[in-house]
Amino acid sequence: MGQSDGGNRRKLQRMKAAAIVFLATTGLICLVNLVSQDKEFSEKENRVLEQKPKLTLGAVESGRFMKQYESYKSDQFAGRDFWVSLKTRVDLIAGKRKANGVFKGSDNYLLEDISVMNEEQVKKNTDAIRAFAEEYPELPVYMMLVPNAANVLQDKLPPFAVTEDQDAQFAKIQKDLGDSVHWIDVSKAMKKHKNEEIYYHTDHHWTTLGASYAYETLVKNMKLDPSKVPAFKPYAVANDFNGTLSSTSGYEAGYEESIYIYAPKKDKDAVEVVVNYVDEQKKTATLYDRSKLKGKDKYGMFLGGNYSMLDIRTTADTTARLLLFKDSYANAVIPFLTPYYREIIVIDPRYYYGDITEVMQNHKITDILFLYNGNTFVEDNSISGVLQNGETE
Amino acid sequence: MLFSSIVFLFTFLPIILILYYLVPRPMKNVILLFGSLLFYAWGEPVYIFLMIFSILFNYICGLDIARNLGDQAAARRSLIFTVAVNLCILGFFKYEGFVLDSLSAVLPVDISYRAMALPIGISFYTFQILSYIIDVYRGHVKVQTNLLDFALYVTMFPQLIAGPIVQYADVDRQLHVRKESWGKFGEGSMFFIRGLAKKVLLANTIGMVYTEVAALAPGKVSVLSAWIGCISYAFQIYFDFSGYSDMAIGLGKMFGFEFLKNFDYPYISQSITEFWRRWHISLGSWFREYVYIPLGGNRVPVIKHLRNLLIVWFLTGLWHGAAWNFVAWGLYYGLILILEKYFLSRVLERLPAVIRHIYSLVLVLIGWVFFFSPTLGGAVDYIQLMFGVGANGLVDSEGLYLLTTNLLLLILLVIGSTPIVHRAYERVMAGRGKILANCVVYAAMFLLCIAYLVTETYNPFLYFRF
Repeated sequence: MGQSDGGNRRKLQRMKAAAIVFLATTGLICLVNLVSQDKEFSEKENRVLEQKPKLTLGAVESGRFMKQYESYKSDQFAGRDFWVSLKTRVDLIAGKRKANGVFKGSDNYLLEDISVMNEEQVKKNTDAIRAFAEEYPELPVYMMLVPNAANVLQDKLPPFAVTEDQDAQFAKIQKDLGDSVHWIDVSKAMKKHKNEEIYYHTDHHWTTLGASYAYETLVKNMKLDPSKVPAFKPYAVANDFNGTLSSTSGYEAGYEESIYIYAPKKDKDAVEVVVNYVDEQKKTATLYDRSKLKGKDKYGMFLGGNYSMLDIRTTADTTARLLLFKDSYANAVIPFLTPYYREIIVIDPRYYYGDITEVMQNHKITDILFLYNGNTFVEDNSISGVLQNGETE
Repeated sequence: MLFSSIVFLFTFLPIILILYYLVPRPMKNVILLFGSLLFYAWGEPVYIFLMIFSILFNYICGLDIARNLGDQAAARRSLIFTVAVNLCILGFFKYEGFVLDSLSAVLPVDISYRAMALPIGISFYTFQILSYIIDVYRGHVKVQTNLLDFALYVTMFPQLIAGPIVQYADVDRQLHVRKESWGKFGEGSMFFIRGLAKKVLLANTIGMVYTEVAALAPGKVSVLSAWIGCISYAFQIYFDFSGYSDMAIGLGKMFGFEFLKNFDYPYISQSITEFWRRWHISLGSWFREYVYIPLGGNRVPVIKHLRNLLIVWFLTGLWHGAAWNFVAWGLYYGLILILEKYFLSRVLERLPAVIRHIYSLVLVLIGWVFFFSPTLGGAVDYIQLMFGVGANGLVDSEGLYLLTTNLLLLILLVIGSTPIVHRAYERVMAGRGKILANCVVYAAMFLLCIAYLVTETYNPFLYFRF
C-alpha cells in the first residue's frame, strides 16, 4: 500500500514537473519572439520574409489575414536557422537523404531532383521555338539544354535513389523541335567530365568549369573560330560560397566552395564590353557584379543576376550578333562568348515583356541561341509568350 | 487553426491559458467559448455564422423537446424536425456535390451545381449536437438551459475540428463543475506533447513516403513500393488522427475537462471486430448508441441484424467522405464484420495469434487503399499492384530506396503502434528520481516538434476532409 502511495505521489510530482516544462518552454519561446526584431530578408533562405499583415475587415473575411499572419509568425520565428538545422540533423540520423526536393549525395554533393516535365507547357514552348526558327529560315537557331547534376552525377545520389529520366526528357524535346532548330548536345561533354568539379556542391548551378565545357561544345557546333581568341585562365573570386541547395535543404550549411571566373591571361587581350541593362536603364563596363560576392546569392556575381534584357556590346572584331534566350545557367557562359560577337542581346523570358520582332530588326541579329538547364526548361511557362510577342491564343 | 502550428502554440494557446486562469470561475466558460469561436473563425471566417446558427437553433429545439416530453407525439415531432434540419445542413454542405454527381451519372441529364467549401469539423460537431438532441428526447440528460454552456459544448476548440466526438452525457456535468489542477495540467501537457510528436514527427514524415509512392507513374510501381505506400499511409493516418486525439485530450485536461480515449493501439488487433473496438472509438460508440441500437442491434432476427450492420457501415463509410470509395470502404468493413460474427470468428479462434494478426493487418491495409484512392477504380488498380498485377516487378530500385531511407522510421512506427513503448517508459519512470529524466524527454520531444514545425511547410491535416 505504502509503495503504491509512493508511486502515485511520484507520478503526481512527475506530472507537475511536466506542467512546468511545458509552460516554461512555451513561455520562454513566446518571450524571445516578443523581444526579437522582425527581419525583412533572410540571407540564408535568400528571400523576402513575410511582414506583419494589416488587420482589415476584407482581409479577415476572406481569410487572407489569417494566412499571412501564419506565414508571418513562422517566417519571423526567433532562431529559425537553428530550428531548421536541428530538424535536418535528426532527419539524417533517421536515414532520410532528401529534403525539399534536394538529395544529400556523397562527397558533400547536394543534388536537386530532376523536375517532372510539364508536357503541355513544353509542347507550347517547343512549338513556339520551331515557329520562330521557321520565321527566320536564313538565321541559324541553336538549342542547348544543360543536364542537371542529378542526371550527370548519378553516382553521387544516395543509394537506390531514382529520379526522372532527364535523358528521355531531352530526347523528346529534341524530337519535338525538329530539324529547323539545331540541337547542341552538351550532355556528352558534361558526362565525360563528370569527375571534375563541373557542378557546385551546394548550389543548383554549374560551375564556371562546367560552363567552359559547354562553351567548347558551342564553339564546335556554332562553328565559331577560336583561333583569334586568347586562352582563358580561371581565377577564384570567392572561397566562401554556400549555395541555395544548402539553404532549401538545410544540409551542408557549413560547406564553403569557390567561384571562379575565366579571363584571358593578359588583360590587354580581353575584349572590352559595355553591358546595358535595358529596362533598368543602367550601364556597366563589366560582366561581373562583385558586390554580389558579399551577399548570399554569390552566383549572382555573373552579370548581376537575371534581368529581362541585356544588351552587351563588345569590341570584338566581327559583325556577328547573337540573340540569347536563357535562364541563369547561361550567365556563366556569356563571358566566354563575348569575344565572338559584336553584340549579344540576352533575354530572360521569365521577366521580359517586350517585342521580339523589333529586337530582331533593330539589332540585325545573325545567330539565335536558346540555353537552359533541363529543370528550368521543362517547367518554363514564359518562352512561348515572349516568342509570340505576348500574344496569347 | 491547427494545433500543430506556430500561431496556435505560441500565440493562441498562451493567451487563452493566461486569460482562462486569470478570470474568476463564472467567466472561465466565457473565455473558452470566445476562444473556441475565434479558433473556428480563424480557418473559416464565414462559416462561423453557420456555426452560430446551428447553436441557436439546436439550443431552442432542445428546450422545445424538453418542454414537450410529457407529450410523446409532440416531442417526437420536434425531435424529427430537429434531426432533419441538422442532417439537411450536413447533407447540403457535405453531400450535395456527391449526390448530384451520382444522379448525373445515372440520369440522362447533367446537373450542374456550385461546389462549396466544406465547413471544417461539420461532421464532428453535427454528431455532437445530435447526441445532445437525441439524449434530451430520450430523457438520458437534462436539457441545457444555459446557452453559453451549450455553445461551449458544441464549439469547444480542443475537439472541435477532429474529435473525439464527445457525447453530451459525458461532459454535461463538467460544463459547470470541473476541477483544474497542477497535476492534471501536467498530465494534459504530456498528452499534448505526445500527440504533437505523433503528428509532427511521425505522421508528417511517413506521410511524405506515401506521397512519393502515390506520385509514381503507373508503370513504375513495384509490389514492394505498393506495400510501402500502403503501410506508410496506414501509419500516417493512425499517428495523425490518434495524435490529434491525444492533443485534444491533453488540451481538455489543461482546462479541467476529461474526454474519453479515442484510440487503443488498433494495429495490434487480432480481428477486424477488435480493430473497430480500438479505432476511432468515439465514432463507433456514436453509431452504436444512436443508429445500431435504436434499429434493434443484434436482438432481432438474423436478417434484420444483417440489415442493421450494413446500414451502420454504409453510414460510417459515408461519414468519412462524400464519395463512393468511402461507401465501399464502409461496406467492406460491414461485410467482414458480418463474416466474422457468423462464421470467421470460430475459425480464427483456432489459429495462432500471429496468423490472426497478419489476417487483420492485411485486411486493414486493403481497407486503407479504398480510403486513399481518389476513385473506386483507382483503388482496385492499386490493390492489384499490391498483389503483382501490373506491377514493375516484385522489387525495384525505387522500392529499395524508399525502404532503406525509411527503415529506421518504419521500425519506430511499428514499435510505436504497440503498447510496448508506453509500458516500458512507465515502468522506467515509476522508479525514484525520474522526475528530471521525464522532463528532459518531454522537453526534447517538444523542441523537436517545434524544429519540425518551423521547418516544414508540409503540414496538411488529413481529417479536414470530413
